[in-house]
Amino acid sequence: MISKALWRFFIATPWSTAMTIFGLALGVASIVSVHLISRTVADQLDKLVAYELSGYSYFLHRDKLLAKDYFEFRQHWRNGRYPGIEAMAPFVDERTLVDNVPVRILGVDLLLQSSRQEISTQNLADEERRSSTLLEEVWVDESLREKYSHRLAGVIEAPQGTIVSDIGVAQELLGWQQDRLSYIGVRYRDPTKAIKDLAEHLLPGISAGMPVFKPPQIVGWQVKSLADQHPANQFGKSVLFNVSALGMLALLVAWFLIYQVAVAWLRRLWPVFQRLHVLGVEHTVLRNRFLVMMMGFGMVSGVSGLFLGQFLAEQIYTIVVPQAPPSLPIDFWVVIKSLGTSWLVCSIGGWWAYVQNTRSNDGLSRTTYILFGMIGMAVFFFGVLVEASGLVGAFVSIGVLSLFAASSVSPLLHTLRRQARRIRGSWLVRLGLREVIWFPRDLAVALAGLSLAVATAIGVGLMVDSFRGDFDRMLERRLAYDWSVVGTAPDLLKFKAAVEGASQLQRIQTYAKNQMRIQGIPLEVNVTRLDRYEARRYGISRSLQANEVLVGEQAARLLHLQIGDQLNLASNAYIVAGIFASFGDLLPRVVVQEIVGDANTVAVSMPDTINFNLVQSNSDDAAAWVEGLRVEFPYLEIHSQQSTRKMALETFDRTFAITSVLIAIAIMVAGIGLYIAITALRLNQTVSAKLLSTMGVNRWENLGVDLARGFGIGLCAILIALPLGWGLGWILCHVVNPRAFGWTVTMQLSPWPILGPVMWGLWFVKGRSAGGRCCWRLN
Amino acid sequence: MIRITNLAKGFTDGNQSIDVLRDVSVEVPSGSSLAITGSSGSGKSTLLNVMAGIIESDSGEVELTAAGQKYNLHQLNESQRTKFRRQHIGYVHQFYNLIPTLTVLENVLLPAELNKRKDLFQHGARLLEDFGLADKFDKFPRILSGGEQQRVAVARALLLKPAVILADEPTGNLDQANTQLVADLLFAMAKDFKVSLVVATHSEDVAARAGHRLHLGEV
Repeated sequence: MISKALWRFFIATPWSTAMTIFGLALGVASIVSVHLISRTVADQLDKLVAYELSGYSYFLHRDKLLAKDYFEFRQHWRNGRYPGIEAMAPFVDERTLVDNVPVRILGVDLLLQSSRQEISTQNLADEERRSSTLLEEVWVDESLREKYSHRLAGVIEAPQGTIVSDIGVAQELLGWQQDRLSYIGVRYRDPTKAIKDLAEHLLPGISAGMPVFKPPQIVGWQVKSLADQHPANQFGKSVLFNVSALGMLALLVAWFLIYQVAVAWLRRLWPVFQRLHVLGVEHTVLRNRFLVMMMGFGMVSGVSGLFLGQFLAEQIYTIVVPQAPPSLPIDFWVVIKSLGTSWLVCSIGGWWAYVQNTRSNDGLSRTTYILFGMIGMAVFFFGVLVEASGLVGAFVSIGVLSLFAASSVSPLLHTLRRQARRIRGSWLVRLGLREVIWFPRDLAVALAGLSLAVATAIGVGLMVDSFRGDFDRMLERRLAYDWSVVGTAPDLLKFKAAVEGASQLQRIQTYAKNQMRIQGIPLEVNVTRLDRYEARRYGISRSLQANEVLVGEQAARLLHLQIGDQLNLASNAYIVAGIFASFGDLLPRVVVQEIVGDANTVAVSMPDTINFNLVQSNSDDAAAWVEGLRVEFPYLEIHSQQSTRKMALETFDRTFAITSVLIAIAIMVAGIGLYIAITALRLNQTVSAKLLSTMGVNRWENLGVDLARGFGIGLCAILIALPLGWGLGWILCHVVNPRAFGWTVTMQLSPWPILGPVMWGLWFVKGRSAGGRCCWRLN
Repeated sequence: MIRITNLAKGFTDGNQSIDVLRDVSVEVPSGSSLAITGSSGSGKSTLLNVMAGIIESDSGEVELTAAGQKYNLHQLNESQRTKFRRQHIGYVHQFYNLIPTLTVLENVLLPAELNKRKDLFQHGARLLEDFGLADKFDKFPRILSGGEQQRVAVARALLLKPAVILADEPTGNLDQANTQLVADLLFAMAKDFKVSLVVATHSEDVAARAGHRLHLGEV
């Protein structure tokens, strides 16, 4: 009989039932789409590290490493001196120029069964192995297939210019002596690995921010983590971590939404339940029926949300990366995550909503609030101030701050309600605004969700806007030349000889580049003439001495360098003359005087880029002259710095487009939550609405009340979202960015990152508020 | 004056149609009162809603004279009926008569605000004082007793000195003492203000005070 009563209730309120399922499905869809996008990005980032290295978590370095050092170390390990190590292997891993083409040569021990298996089964695209000669052959990426066709073992999926071979072949290609090595890869037994793997499956990218297992020091060796050794990968993982953190926001907002749905649905059902209770049905029975119902909704919406989320992810991915049509299959983990979320939150949310509805008081005592507040503050300051807490610390601080803001919604509404009579203005405004604060239980959760979403939009907006400002200023300074020429060294030298002395030319600057490893960390070393003009591009107002060097912010952070410190490059000591902003650099960078490069082979002296300025850069003559150069040197890329700048900013905007999309999803989900809350609120207003109707209030005035209510909800959300958004922005600029990317962003308070989300939130609330009326009428 | 001629109103529930009012005719002169009695479901509230222009009749005429002008509700569209109701009708419900988010004084002054009649603000305050609610101006309805809430509702209905006050079971939710008090106020004030009063009630005591009586039976 009870089931019949409930079933008839569904039929009688089809709109509300449909909205409940739709709301839940949208919450699940947002979780699924964020997960699929994050996983795709994570997969792409994993390809940045050679597969052969990915099984090793740490790398042991020492000066002039020889094979006998490896064997000696291995002997000690077998004797039990290093019990934490599970596996080890020697590697040759260097970059060099082959026919003026930069390549990375990775030598692995093919005699170790595991290495042989990894290359042949995982990376070999062309099944043309000839096992008898494998030790003499090479695996290359597609770009080098032709060049090494005579000794090709296979083509692998790897970054451009990668050669993988046996150690002996690698040494031969590098011109090294037969027993020289680069480093030893070791795999430590990490007690937290299982947890990290599980977390990574559930929230791709999250493990990049987890505390790194610190292996014990080994005397005579420098131990470098995979992250230190491959900062490009780490850079990407950090971006991904930010995305996954935003994914957590989407998850949180979706949970809020699902809970809100439970609250709204229960409110609708409550009169039925009350009557049944009066007739003698126990609350436990009613609650269980309600939970079964919610879980049924959870199942239906979980499955729908799964496919809706996949569709949404593909659309988002196509917008953000239009050139790469996505393949985002649903895997086991995303099914677990979506169905688990919908089931779990539906049952827990439903249970909690029921408990709240049968409770007479408003929950936690003041003492408990204060206690939680103090613990929260301690955790917050620890995460922000203690750098060792890493990205996890920073995001836990953000979580605490968000939780604090979200939990302040209900007390805020109660406080405002006590001051309700102070709200003045026309009856329309008074009625609309007061209704917002009149029902804290109905609205608090949805309002908290919306506040969080808008605050995150403000925070991330402030960070991205500040970052863009800094990036733009850096480009302005760095791209001080009119034109840039890229090509092979001989062609560039020919070009230089041809244009030097031309009347149109004001200044020409040559750059050479090489990579080297300092303390196990790969660095990009730029060699150029650092006179006053050139040094100004890096923020230094004087020319550099021969023993001075400029260091990028990332390199300074990794090598713990400050201005005035000493840096050893190729056995020579240099003084750090300046540290420059290096946004977007994949590798940490140092810039040295040209003469040093030539004299000490710090870097190859062959140029890879030439920049030049023209006397009258904007004239037609100048354009015609450059066009002539393009015809004369067709194999060189000559492009204007302005176009480079435009392209850089476009790339920047595209990189952060995904964050905007994720925030948009969160705000949309929060908006739906609010819509459902307003629908529930309407149940409280049915009598008032009828009363107003008998008093002659027309539909436009009713709409006015709705708009005032929407404005009130928006105002409450903004009261919380503004300070929270500012706080999030500050943490992102001053804590997350330095820890994740190695650079500091100067936070700038510009109006658009704040006004945009605020207006969007208000618009959403206004629309939902007016939309709520339709729902009320239909039911 | 109110004149109702051959009024009929029915509702449909699925395929079934239910006649609630059929061939109802009655006339209430200005300043006099009418009690509508009948069993539950006999159409008392429906008739009041038709008289207020909240719902339309299926057939028949409802004519009201207000401020010297005659209105035929059947000829007005929804917007005009709403405007008419706002200006010329006072309504008292059985319960939930007040807007919970407005204070007592704001509830009483709401019709004045709707009609942009700031000149009536003092009058509203005086009415509340006359009704013994001077100390409740600034309170929200939730702390008022049922009798006090009904008194506020009567004060609000009277504020504009409307042509007609429609009261739907105004004492149905009150004890004997409060029934007496509210009925006294309603009938006395209607007489003083020369307002036509139409009361739908189950109470014989209340019905007996009215000048005219209409009994609605099973249709």
